[in-house]
Amino acid sequence: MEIREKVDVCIIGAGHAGCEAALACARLGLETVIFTVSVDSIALMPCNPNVGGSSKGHLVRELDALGGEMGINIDKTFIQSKMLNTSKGPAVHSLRAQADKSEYSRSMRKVLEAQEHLTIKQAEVCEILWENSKEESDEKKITGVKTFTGAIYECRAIVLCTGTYLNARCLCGEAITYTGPNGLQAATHLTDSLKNMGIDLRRFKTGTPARMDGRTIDYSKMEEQFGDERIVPFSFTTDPDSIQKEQASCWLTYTNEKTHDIIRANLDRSPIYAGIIEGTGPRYCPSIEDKVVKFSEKERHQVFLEPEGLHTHEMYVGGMSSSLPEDVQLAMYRTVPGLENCKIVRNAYAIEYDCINAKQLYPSLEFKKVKGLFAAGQFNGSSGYEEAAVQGLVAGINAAMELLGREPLVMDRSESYIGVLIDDLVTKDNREPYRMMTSRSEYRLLLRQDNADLRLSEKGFEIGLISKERYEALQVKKTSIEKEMNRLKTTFVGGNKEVQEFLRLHESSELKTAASLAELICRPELSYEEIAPLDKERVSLPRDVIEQVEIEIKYEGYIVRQTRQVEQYKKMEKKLIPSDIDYDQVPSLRIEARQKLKEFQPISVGQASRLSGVSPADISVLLVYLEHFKSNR
Amino acid sequence: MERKDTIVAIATALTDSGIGIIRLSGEESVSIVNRIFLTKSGKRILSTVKSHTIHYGFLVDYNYISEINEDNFKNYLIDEVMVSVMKAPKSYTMEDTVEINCHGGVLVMKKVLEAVLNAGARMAEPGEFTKRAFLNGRIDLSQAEAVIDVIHSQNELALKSSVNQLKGDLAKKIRELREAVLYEIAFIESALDDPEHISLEGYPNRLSEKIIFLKKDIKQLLESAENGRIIKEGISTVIVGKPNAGKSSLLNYILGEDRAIVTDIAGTTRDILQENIRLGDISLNMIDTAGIRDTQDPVEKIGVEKAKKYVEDADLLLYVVDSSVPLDQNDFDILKILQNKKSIVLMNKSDLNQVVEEKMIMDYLKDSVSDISILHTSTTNKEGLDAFEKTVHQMFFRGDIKQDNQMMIINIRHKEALQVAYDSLSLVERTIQDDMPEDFYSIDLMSAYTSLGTIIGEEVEDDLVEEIFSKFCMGK
Repeated sequence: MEIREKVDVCIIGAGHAGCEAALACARLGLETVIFTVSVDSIALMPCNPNVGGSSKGHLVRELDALGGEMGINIDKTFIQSKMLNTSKGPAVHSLRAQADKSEYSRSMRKVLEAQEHLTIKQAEVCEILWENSKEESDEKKITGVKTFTGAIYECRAIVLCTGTYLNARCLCGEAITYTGPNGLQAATHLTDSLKNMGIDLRRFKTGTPARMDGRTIDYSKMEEQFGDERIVPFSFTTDPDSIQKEQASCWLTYTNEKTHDIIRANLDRSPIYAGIIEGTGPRYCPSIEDKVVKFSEKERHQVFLEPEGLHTHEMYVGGMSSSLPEDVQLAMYRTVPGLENCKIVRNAYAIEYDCINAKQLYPSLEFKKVKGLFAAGQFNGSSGYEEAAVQGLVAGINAAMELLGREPLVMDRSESYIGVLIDDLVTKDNREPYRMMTSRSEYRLLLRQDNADLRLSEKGFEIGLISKERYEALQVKKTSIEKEMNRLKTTFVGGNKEVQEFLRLHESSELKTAASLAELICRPELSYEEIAPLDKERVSLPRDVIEQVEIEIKYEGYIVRQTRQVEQYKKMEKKLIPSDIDYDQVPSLRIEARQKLKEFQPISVGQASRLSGVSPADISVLLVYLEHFKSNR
Repeated sequence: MERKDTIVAIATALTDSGIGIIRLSGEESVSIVNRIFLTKSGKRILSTVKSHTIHYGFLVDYNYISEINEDNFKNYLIDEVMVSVMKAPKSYTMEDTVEINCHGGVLVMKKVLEAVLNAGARMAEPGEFTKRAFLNGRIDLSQAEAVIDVIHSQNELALKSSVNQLKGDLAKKIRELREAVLYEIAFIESALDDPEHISLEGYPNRLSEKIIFLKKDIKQLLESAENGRIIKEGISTVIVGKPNAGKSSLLNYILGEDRAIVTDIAGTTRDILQENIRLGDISLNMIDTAGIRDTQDPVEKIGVEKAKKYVEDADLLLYVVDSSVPLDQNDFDILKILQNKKSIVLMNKSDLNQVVEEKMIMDYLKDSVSDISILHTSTTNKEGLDAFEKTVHQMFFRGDIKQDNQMMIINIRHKEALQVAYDSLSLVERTIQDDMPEDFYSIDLMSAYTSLGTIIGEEVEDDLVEEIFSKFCMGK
């Protein structure tokens, strides 16, 4: 007798995407099972030991504002924290925390285990069960999953979060193993099942550097990298005072010509340069081989030694991922100052895996052709823990919304980095694992990490992942920001002696006529804090309120301009394309554009305009046609 | 639903010339011409011929088509023609295209056109071939606009510049500018993305210097836009001077033997006359005014007001001085106007006794801010026309218009886009001066980049990310 169970949602994979998806579904009251090939690898960090960083920090903040878990979990388990880019504008400030990897994983597992409606199951899912949703129709609908041992879980929605496990293959020079990351069991059956459903798969590649035995590293030859003095938490729910603590250090060193010579001499033994790897790798985290070949003019590259945790000696060698053979790796690492006598605990390796072109998905992350099937994370062609987590959250939410008969959560490019990430994934031609970058966001001045709660927590509340208390606290924050802004704009100071003296003291030009406090804050040499002596009626406000007030005032001109651009953008996003449009009836479309539009079925003219192969001329043609279409109905 | 009908137009100038071309585009081009085109043996072959072939034969009158056969067709001839067939998508419009080469001559061409219209084509709207080529993706926006400018250009120089633009000189220059801007954005962005690897130390100064160069280049293109307008529309030139200074005779003289009057529009108010004249390869829109002087006559007053308005809008003022009589208050009033305008002072009647000397005028104009030349002319002795032509060249094209291969911006939309790019770069300079953080630079650099892109119809797409990865070594 086979085991047969009935649940609402099955989550396949328990990495950063899977965990968020599972928690979202269970928290919204749906019976959820999360499958993993190994319970010990829940929320595993198989590559870099940190969370956040430029633009990725934004993602975590946004996830937190919507009710995800990653921010809270890293606040519990970080060992060093740093706000990056503090010398630059507020839009590009980004938080990054070094994690104690095993603590991070254990802590997340605890959260999953404590979650009502959620079951953890160690099993390899090898088949998606489905039926045609209507007779004689192409459209499919999922009915459940089947595990390798034959157990069947009937369900109404599935979220695929298979990460790098599908048909995974690890390469370290000539040595090839058919395993997932860290020697974990690969998932070898699901690909066929997906192909049978008509889903197209492709192969991507990524890599990770070696881990060193910390006792063999000479830190005296490296520069110590400290965390921030005042630690800022990721989660809006974490009390900053509760997380100030002793921090671990990272270390900076450099490669040199010797390192590069060894690499060049052994390129023929690199699986990538020897042509053994077929998958496409990411350019933003190139292997050290790639850096040496593509940027041959650079005499040295930075290397960061980062602790893997507090309870291990292992150190991550950031900047030197590689798929060269073991002996070459050792020789090359040992040319780096401080690593002359290093011993490698785990070798660097490249990993290849099956994933999809996410253009097969709606922005809700549901497959266009298969109802009830959602996908998130590296399986969608992204890269990075944070990118995975936010997709997991959105896919989980939308699986739940579908089962609950509610509207899906679709954010556009002007609302969040998450919106930018998903739009890029499902709209553009990505030929390599996709990483978030602040430059991908057109409206980044509005999408700051400091205002993620103001932008998104109302949505989180509507969805049901943000508590009433948190929502109400947010409303209070909003009101006090508005009130303070108003007060500063309408409180004027005249050019009296006290004021002029104050301005002289701060090397600021003296007043000719009365000026509002806001105008004074606007001056580069002054700030909210500094003008306190002139502001007689000021009452003490929370730090986060002051931060918003100051940013909104200081950068008002730019913020207003960007807000106007958003209005323009929204116009095109709001021009929806009817789902029954027949592109063959649209005259004058170029063939390439016609094919792309047919294949892709964009939901709006805005989305259509971002498809590669659709020119501005095609968009004008389409707009004209849609006008006709409307008036002829 | 818009029907993809077949359009026709006369593609060559409708003048008496050697050959005329009638062009059709659209699905039915071939079948329409097939109805009225017969080989010398009277066969209809066009629907079976291969693409990109040319055929000799005869065009017949569609009105008698039911009576026409192999034996009698020669009685219904319109013209002896060559017909070429270009099938989609390898044609200018990317649609089926047929070109009928007939004998030039207004009457013949009109008859051929009529026959084609009778046989089922529709008269094309102005620029419709280009529009179709554009909509079908055959040419980009700037090419399309250049084609329209070709149609409208009034003389050889403008034509030359339109042709250059088509060939992509302009597109190439714009692309170079865009690349330079993109490089800077990519550098800033890679530093923001990877602050531990890429430093912005000292960058604001470096960027400021680059912006100066970029702005200079754009300024040059903008100036060429002014030249472009002048070439295309002609130099708007106003003749001023007291009555009887010899304005009319001078005008007649310039118009002289080589006169090439294009338009002859009488002004709505009395005494204002506009003539389009061609001088070598530049054209002047000459406006002759009644003369600017203080007057009580209400009718003349209107004329003077109108003249002043023309003077204000003019590219060039021609001030005709009768050098045989002394200057008076009216002359001084005119000289005042001259100070802010490109002007040429023509010391007329140089064959007579010289009362007014060049120096007197120079002294008066020594504080003026604009380009002013003084020439001596005599309509009786036929002096000074060459010098006049040279001076105009010098003033408007720095004399080098013919040799200089610089691309001309000849379109308002281009000019606006360039101006936006220029202003955006100025905003970046401002941002640097205000000590704003570096991430703010990319906001206006990006608008400059986007704006330049609209000139050549290119979108931003993923250029930036590509540039970051290809030019800068990123971390991890």
